[in-house]
Amino acid sequence: MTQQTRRLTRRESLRLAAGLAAGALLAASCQPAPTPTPPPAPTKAPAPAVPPPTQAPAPAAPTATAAPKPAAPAPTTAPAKPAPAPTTAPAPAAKAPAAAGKVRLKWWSHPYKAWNDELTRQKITYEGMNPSIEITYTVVAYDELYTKFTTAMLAGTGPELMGAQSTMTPNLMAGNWLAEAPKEVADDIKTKFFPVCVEGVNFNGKIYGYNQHIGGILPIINTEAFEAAKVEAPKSWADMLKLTQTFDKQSGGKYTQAVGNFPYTSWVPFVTWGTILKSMGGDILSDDAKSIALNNDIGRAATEEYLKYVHPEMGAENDTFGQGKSFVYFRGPWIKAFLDTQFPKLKYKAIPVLQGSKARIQKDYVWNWVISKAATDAQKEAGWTFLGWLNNVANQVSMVKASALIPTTKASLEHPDVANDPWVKTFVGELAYKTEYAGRISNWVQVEKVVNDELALLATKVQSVNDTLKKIETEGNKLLKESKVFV
Amino acid sequence: MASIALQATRRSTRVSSQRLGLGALKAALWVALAVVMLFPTYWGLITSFKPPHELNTDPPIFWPQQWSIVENYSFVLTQIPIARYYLNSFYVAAVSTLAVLFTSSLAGYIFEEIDLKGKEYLFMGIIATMMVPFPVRMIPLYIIFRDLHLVNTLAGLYLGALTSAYGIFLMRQFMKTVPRELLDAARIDGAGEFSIFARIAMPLCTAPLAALGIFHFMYEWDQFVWPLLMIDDGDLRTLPLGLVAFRTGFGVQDWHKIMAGAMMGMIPVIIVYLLGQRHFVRGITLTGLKS
Repeated sequence: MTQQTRRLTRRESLRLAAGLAAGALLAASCQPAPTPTPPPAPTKAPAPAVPPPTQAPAPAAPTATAAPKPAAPAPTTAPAKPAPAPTTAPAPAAKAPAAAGKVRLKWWSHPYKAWNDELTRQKITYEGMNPSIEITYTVVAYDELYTKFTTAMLAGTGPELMGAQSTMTPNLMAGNWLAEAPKEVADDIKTKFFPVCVEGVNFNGKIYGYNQHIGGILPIINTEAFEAAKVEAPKSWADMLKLTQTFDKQSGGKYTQAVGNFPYTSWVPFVTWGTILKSMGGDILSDDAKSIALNNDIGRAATEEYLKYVHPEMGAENDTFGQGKSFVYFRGPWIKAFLDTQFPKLKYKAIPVLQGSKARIQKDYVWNWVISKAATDAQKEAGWTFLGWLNNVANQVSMVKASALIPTTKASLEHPDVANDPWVKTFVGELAYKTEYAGRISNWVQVEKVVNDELALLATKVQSVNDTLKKIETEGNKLLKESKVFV
Repeated sequence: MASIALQATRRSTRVSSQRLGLGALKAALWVALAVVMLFPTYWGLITSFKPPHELNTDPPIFWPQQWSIVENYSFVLTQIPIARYYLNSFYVAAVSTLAVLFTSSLAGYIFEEIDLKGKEYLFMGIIATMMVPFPVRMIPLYIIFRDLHLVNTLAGLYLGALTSAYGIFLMRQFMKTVPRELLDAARIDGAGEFSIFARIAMPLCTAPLAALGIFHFMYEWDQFVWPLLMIDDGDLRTLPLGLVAFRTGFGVQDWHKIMAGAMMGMIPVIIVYLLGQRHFVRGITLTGLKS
């Protein structure tokens, strides 16, 4: 019997090749991408992304009226003692057990280029000094960070380290997803960090993360407009109301110029409206945080005052301020890079927190680094060590230079490079008047969304002030019933 | 007689002027609709050409006074690895589209041509899946993919999109128009069912396949939430995921750069549409005939 060898036809060969290629492609795509080799750590700190302003802001003048005692002691702006240079921070040898091999940490945060670049540089430096630690830094869009994080945590694929704004942190706490800081780390944080920042990670007396930066939102004014009008920068909310007579122009229901064009969408309305409310002696929540406490005369007065500075017909607040159509708005120090790039001719400065009828106060937020409870002991240990190093004075000062984000440790705030920077100095000097942005409740994100949504309807004249407050109260109270309150 | 002719002429003139008026009205309506449809794209395009100070002005600037095309587009090209994002998006969209074209046409053929018990119930079951919104399936699906070790892989993006209920519905609708005599003739000649499907039915399906291909490619190309959940590594990001790097949490958006990225993201979809345009329109018409 002869054995016949059948040769493949051209078509069959092609099919076989295509099949093999498809199979290989499928198999290859199932593999995660190889970790890119990190570039060598730069030896020099990056050049400051934010140059000092051409006009140094006037020193923060204390308000004439009796300001209430600040909740926390104001940091001295004069350098108390020399701090280490920002580029020479030693990286501690991580305590992660070498025998167990490399400790790999996934680290998620949100995009802001100057900040991300500096964090990446610091991460690479740390990895270089601790070869047993490998950190993968991933940037997720801010609006989607919480969704991605919660989904991943539910499925057990979440990161070991994550950036979480103070608004999100109570929700993450309620999900029981955060690791408590070991005693020595907690003590270190309580001692070294600025008190209002520590509040952002302090739940029921326990510490659940490091603070990276504090929002530091202040009024920013167009200095040229004020000089041209021969008026002084406002020192109080009463001054702001008087200034509306100087600056606001209305034609046929359309504002063309206004002292303030405050935002009415996104997360920012809450900051400005909440600040007015607090400065008039009101608050959003009752003392026990179990009900909405703003549907009253103070709430109405604050909301009506806020409305005087909201002009949706003028356009987005960043642009109207940059184009010289509005003269005061509220932003954090990071806005400098944006204003300098987009509106290079604009002359502006930050001014101190405005005095209200009852308080001199500014609502704010803190950005925290937290660690997943699901991380292994080795990952947790390596994570806390890394975060501690990341927030040392040198790194925090370096971050201020790169991104203008206000640091959170007392020593960093007193560092000459921070305390003497004219732009940053104003923000640092006002930290004593900050109140932590987030509530102490587990579903704060949802409550805040209700407030922002209703304020947007009010600003666009869809509903009245009374209806707005009533709806915030009704919807908010429904949410608060399901909420967990942290002390 | 002359008066009758005159009346007829007048009537004819009136009718033709009525027709002309109606035609003009229709044309105006179509133009208005086209403007409404095209304006967002125009605005996006023109925004991608503007310098920052012309972005948000009152009154709005409809034609840039200063052009920043090079600055905006070069920023996008240099700040994010857009070529990699393109490649990832194209790979995922192409694999998924090819798979959907195959599975949908095969399922459409089976549902229409093969006698199976309970196939109508099965078909209704498949159609019913279209009514379950994605957010409901999102977390269970994610957990399944985690168990299959597909999280943070490109395969995880397309393996869940190898079939399409909409595609099966569309192809079944078209299969109804394929002359049964053709298929029966092939059966009489001894052809197997797969052979009939591949050699007779499929060549007749180019129009609906083009329509389905374009629809599905666009859908996959624009996917955001699923890649957002699945992909952690920067190297594996698809284009929509990569473009959000221009958005920050600080209430500041560089719209001109975001729009430059979005415009670049539209290019492959436009190419795919132009390539299949002729078949696309025909496919939509044909599959709607016997619905």
